[in-house]
Amino acid sequence: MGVSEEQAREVVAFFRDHDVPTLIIGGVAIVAQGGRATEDVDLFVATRDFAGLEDAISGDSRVREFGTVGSVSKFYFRLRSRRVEIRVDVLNPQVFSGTRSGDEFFGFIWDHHSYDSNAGRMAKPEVVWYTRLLVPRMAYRDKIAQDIENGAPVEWLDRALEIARHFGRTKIARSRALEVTKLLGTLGVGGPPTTPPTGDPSGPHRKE
Amino acid sequence: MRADVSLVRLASDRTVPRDLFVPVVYSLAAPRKRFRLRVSSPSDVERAARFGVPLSLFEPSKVRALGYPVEFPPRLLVGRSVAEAVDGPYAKVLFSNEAAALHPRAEDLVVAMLFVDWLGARTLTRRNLDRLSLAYLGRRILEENAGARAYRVRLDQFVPEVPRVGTPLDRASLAELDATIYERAIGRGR
Repeated sequence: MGVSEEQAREVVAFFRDHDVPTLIIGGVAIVAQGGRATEDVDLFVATRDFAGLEDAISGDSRVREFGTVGSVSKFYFRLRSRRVEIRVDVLNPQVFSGTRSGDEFFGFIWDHHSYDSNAGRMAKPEVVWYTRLLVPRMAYRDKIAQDIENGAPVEWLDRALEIARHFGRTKIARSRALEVTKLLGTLGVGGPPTTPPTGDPSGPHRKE
Repeated sequence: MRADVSLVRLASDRTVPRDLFVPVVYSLAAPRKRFRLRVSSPSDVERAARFGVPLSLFEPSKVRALGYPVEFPPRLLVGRSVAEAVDGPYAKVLFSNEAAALHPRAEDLVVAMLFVDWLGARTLTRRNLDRLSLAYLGRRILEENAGARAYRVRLDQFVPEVPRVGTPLDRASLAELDATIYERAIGRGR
């Protein structure tokens, strides 16, 4: 099953127990706005916490197969509530901070583009889309296109570009936003054969 | 001007539930009573299907049963010919093939997945290669005009009928999609 808010809360609480503040990003943050569920939990920690993350948490019995490749630490987390382990990806915000420091980026997102949710401090969707614009692999543009097909407002893309402007990543973000637009056209997203609900004003996504 | 789609009662339909089939008033001179279908719940969908309306509910549980752990708001798989006459809270995935809309096979669920989460459709296909009829899947992808979506996630690697339309994902994306196991039962994979 997809990761529920309750499960994400359990992961965030785990980090809190280890004195590591986290920001929930990735699909969980999109789901919080009513979209398709995700299968993992993606988190930002401050850059100053990223380097010491393995020492801080890998000794805990709930953490399995901790490993770091570049700016991403991955592990499986054993949930108390279910007899399954879920994938947790922890990202170093340095990768997304452009001309500024990773900690500046973390603080900026915390202060201006996130909110307190039941699960923990949650990045707004534009932050998720901003990260998806900066990851080189094309599939991340597909994730944005899929969100749009599932009802996410295209305006989130404009807000993602505002974040890009703040961190000097406008050029790359804009060119990849264009990729999304082209993809929407190629795949016919937004037109038939999928159609929105009728007779009920509430769509799958809440507009902010 | 626009087309106006409605449902009419067959001779075999003695009575139709009015909570489900809502009469549409045209004029007193109309030769046959016309209805719109209002489905608000899974049981409504089942009841409507029993009247032969080509539709079924595409629920995440059906995808999870095929080995892909995912959650999404249920969609209505509905035959294109009647889709305009169906109201309710569900977003629709329109199928040209009405039999597939009414009784979707695993391959039809892959096609439906292409319209909900095409990245997931690749995972679904890879995890079920031994149970899918790839020939049927190929026909269905073409029938539902899902070729560009299927090629985007390189389903042509498994289904040769998939047309090469548009730009496929890069290798790094495909490798990441294929390698990722998000959730596992405790005791596996250590």
